[in-house]
Amino acid sequence: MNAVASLFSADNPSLPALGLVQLWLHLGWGTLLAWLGVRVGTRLGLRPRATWVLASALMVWAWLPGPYAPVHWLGLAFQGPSVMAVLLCAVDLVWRRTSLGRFREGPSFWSGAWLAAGVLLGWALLLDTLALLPVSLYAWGFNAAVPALLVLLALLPWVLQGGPVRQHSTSVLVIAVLAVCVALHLPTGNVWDALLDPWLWLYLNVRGIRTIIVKQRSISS
Amino acid sequence: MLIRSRLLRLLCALVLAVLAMAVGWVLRPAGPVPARAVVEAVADPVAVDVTRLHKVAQGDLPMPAGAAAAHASSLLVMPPGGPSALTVFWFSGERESGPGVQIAASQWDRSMQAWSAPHIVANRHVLGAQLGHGVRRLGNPVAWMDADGRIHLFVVATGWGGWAASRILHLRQSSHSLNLDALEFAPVRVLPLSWLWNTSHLVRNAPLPLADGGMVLPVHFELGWKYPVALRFDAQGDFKGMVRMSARKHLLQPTLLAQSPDHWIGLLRDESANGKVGAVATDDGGQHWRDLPDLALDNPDASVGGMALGAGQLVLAHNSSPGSRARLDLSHSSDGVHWSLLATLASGAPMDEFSYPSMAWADNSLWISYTVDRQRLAWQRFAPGGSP
Repeated sequence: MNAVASLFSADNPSLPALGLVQLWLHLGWGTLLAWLGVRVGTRLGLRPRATWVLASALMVWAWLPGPYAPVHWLGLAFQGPSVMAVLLCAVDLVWRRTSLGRFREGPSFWSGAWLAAGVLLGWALLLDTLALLPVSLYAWGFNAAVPALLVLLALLPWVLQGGPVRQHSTSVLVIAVLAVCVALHLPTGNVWDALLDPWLWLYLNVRGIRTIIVKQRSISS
Repeated sequence: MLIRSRLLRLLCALVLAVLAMAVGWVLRPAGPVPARAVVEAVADPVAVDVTRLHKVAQGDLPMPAGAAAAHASSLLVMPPGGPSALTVFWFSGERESGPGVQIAASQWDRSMQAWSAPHIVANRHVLGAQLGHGVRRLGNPVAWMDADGRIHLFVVATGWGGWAASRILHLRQSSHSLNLDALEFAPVRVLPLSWLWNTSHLVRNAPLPLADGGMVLPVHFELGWKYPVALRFDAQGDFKGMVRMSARKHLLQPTLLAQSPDHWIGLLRDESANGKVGAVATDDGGQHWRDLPDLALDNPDASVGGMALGAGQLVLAHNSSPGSRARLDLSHSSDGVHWSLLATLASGAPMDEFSYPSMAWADNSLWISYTVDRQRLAWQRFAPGGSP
């Protein structure tokens, strides 16, 4: 196979080494658990210090080996989380900890478009898993050209609208996810697994439905 | 960064995209050459008339002490000149899908002309520790030897749930010796095959060897709908891609038979009511597959196992009763469509079960292993040259 053909082929995937996958399991689930700890602590009205102690304890717990650690069971059931889910949690943790001003997504059209894109991508991948699509979408995720196309799509809001980069936080996140996927092949070597996992997709579905309900209510009132 | 020109922003985006592609290309391993199958499993296929194969030996495989269940054997041909002709792998434990199930193996000793005492080569606790996450159950080992003479094992490893929550775990020989007592395996990875938490792919049948030293491993998806998938591996056993083999949703456990380097057929278990043996074919070395009409052979939702001894010399072990696994037949064909009975391997009362056949050609013989009542494994050896 020549070099150009290999770029557009899904027949030579770059997969991560087992050691890197193990590292990602602990780092990824540890970050998600820490984020969950902060959310729960905040919801329960714990003091900030207690909330961060809880989050740190969950993060440390995730690094323990064996069946007494959550990663043993989370990995068994769900394998590793997506890079996007981990980055979203990590960014949220950093913002909460450092009280830095949040990025904004510019006009609401683009935040809605990103949400819709995530929901639609998840549905397409689910239908593909069940072989209900005429093409094999998941296998395309091993193609070297797909991350490049996704870079272009991710930068579309910035190209069309301009403005400072901090107003395009989702674009930045997608580019960061693609960078991790291309350079380290995490979490599986397939770009779709890096961008979206089923839990994140379910969250996006719930958020999408809530957005629609809120809009309907505001229109009717 | 504030860039006011839209054209300049577009240029920046294009540069980033090209950079992503370039990095991906640099870090990407070399792509495989087009897949061409090794058609002749037999060194001198002209000398073997498949219609004249006759049984020369049979028996039971030795079981591990205390094992009440055994199932899903996989035969692997060992290098010529070594002490062993074959290694057989299977899963064994207190019951199918039980927590104590392990992967067992035995070798056919050339000098003793007998199977060795079984040896455990994989268990879920050790594999879980090596993977960094839990493995709930093990099953269906499938063995292959790469171009460097290392054995690879593909094992069904379940997540949270039953067989439908399975993943395919790729193990590679970590010991230097092929001798059974020293044989050890270490995980390469869980194969990434689906987006849905990487469920629910299973492996069952032997790989199709390729001329480049690699192979095509037939697997299937079985969460609700069931469909076959072909996985490509290179000569060192590195995963090279996947192709769906059928548009139908009730076919599983494909077995691959090459009729020429590019033209292969896949025969499949059919879970639909009144099922027949399903069939698919490829004319371009597995890049594209098409559905074929079902074979005339009945299939009681049971695994079939086949191989090509040479061009136009196909053999298939299959259950032939419509509603039970009480009879296991060996059939032959020259075109993969029309099959004739060669021998009945086993038959019994309606509740008896002879199932999950595996076959290999070694030491100038066709070897077949199969499950008996999910409790033990039996084997038969066929030699060429008998009366048709």
